Amino acid sequence: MRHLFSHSSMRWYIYILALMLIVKLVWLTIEMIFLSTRGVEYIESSQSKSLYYRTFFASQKIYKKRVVTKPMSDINSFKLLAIYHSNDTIVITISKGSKNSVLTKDDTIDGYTLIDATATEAIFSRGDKNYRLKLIKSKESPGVQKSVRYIPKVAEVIPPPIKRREKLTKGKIVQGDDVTIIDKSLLDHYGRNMNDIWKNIGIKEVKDGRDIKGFRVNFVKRGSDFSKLGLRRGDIIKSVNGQELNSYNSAFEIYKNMDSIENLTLTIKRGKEEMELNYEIN
Amino acid sequence: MQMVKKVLLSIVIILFSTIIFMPKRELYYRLEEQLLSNDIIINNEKIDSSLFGLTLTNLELYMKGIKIADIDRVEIFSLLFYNTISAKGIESDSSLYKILPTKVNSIDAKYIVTNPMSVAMDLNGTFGYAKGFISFSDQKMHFDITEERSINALRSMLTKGDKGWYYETSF
Repeated sequence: MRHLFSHSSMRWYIYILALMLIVKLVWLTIEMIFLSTRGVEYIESSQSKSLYYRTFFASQKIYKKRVVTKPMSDINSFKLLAIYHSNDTIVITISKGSKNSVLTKDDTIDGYTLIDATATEAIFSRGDKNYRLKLIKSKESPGVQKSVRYIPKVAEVIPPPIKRREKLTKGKIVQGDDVTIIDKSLLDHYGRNMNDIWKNIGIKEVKDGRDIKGFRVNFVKRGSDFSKLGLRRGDIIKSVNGQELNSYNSAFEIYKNMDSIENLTLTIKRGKEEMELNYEIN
Repeated sequence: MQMVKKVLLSIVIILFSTIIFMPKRELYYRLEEQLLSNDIIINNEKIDSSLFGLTLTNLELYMKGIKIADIDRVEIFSLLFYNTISAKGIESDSSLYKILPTKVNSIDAKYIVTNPMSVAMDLNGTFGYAKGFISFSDQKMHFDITEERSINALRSMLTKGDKGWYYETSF
């Protein structure tokens, strides 16, 4: 009777299989001790955004295209209590005497038509002239950010806002009384050249455990565009236009929508004080 | 002679079975955990393991919670001493068009044991062709644009050298 396998061949096969078995066992041990059997999945956080209100505006009703017809009166008899200003919506609350009125764009009151608004003022037109009504100083109370301070000013006759915007030099930042006007081309430039941002300003997240609580300004180059924005070393940027910066994604959402943003309000923490920095983008 | 033959055969068998029995999927999960510690997440991928590697399809790449790109296919091939990663159909998120090339057809990375501190890379995209390397010893990344097509979006990141445009950064 002939052997199908010689003894020496069998020894080789067993040797090879034993080696392979040892390797397999080694991998199995590594797998059980060091490796995980599940991958990492990204769970998208809720993208809900809170509406941004400059003052206590939420409790008031908004009436659409209401025309309040009253006899002509002086613009200074009105007080501007609140503004909500987004890309396509302007809503303001004004008071005359003890009566409050809510107006949207193109609403008319006492012959004054609401035509535009910025972060701090409403612009009315009557006849051929435009009138600017400043937001009144808010009363300080616990729970209200102390830094939101607006100086009451009497209304003044101003040239139409479009002409004023045209005067802004390309790529410039113009300091106003309580709002800084930024040329849009400057934002476009930094959007395309992000390295230029990091040459002028250093920003790092502030973490509480794994949660991001804002972004700290580590340095601002003197004389740079970012120093003109009023940012200082040590400031913690908490939110932009009411949207909390609690993740990189929330910060990136603002970057994504930058093209359509006309007004920017940064809520920052400087020392122990919280304050707002207002910008108008033209 | 018999002893030499046995040793050589043992080495070949150990090497071969190490590659074959490598728990590729689990090692990939481990890699994902490592990437997570650097805030990089690969999401939604379908994993198919083969004898010498892995094939991932329909990947979404997130960095610090921001979606960077969609990738059609990634092939990982490993012989331990010679490894390649080939990614195809990379489309960066539309919101990043200002700072990233919108479409990269392929990225091929090659890692050889003889040059352990460097990864050679070839890129082919809307910008043209680029050849470069990542050096772990120098902690830098260098890419030469060997054939340029549309580099306007990237120009602010590129530098003009003697041989043409190049991109270099340190990490």
